[in-house]
Amino acid sequence: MLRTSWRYLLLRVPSEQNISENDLKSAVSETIEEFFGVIGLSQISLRIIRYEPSKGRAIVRCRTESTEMLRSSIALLTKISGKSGSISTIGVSGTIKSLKLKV
Amino acid sequence: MRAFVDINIKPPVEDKYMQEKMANLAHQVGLSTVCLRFKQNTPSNEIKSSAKIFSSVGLDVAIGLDIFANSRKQLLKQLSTSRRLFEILAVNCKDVKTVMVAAHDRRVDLISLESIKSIRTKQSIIKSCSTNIELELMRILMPSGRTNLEQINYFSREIELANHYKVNIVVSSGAKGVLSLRAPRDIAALANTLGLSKERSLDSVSKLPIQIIKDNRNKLSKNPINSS
Repeated sequence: MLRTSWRYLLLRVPSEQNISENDLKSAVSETIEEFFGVIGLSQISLRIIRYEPSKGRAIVRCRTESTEMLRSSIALLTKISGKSGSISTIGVSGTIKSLKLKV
Repeated sequence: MRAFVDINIKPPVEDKYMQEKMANLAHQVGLSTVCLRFKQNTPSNEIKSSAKIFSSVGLDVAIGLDIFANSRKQLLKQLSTSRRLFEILAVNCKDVKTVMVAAHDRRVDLISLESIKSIRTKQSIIKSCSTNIELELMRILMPSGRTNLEQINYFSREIELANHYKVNIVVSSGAKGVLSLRAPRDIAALANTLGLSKERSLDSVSKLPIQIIKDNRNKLSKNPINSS
């Protein structure tokens, strides 16, 4: 069986809104589902690896071939847990270690 | 390494704190140049103050003007008075004939087809267009009157037409606040998803706007910007 290749994205999340990890995951998942459907959501295989609400940063993981889909969904995201909010990608990497260098 | 540009940031001139937040975020998401776009008759001190805020975080700042003309005569008048004062001139008109004039005028850097609803009209404009087409992400994020789905449809049709007629596309955020500012690679990814090739979508937020700003700066080098 082929080994899955992953990409790790470092995200900037607004720290002043007290967003929980579940809120973040559901906001991103809902946007992906809205624009790419359930199939798109399953292809991306989104997973939150680390989330630091105080610093407003999160590391999420997706399949390498679905990185563009995740990035475009992030660009289209306008609400987090019912309130206006946005997320921006600060960096993308193949390993968490090298992603930490971008912080 | 690519340098990224957001060619359409509309800073809220009355809110300096918001401008500082926007400038910091723009720097954080990897932009190296921003074009601050203002409406006609914005006081020069406010333009300078906004430019200072954005350049203080290390961003290269270009100044642009949004032209909303109702007639051909009005458009030509605004172009002749503003061309030597601003680095970017962007036209967004509701009148089809005026957009047609703008699409053929060499002084215009960008035209937006947001106000044109008919696909046939868009096609005839793009077919004979000699300037760059601008696509603002704000059109999808905060649509005025129409739903997201329709706007995404218009967006992808414009990309399809521009691909077909080999017209350059520049994609920008059109941000009016910190919530609508996006990372340039995220914007490029969206353009890629909507039909622009990967290379062209990256060029639309980097090489192409950089070239437009560079060319205009060369032309203006003997006429430093001093807005009316």
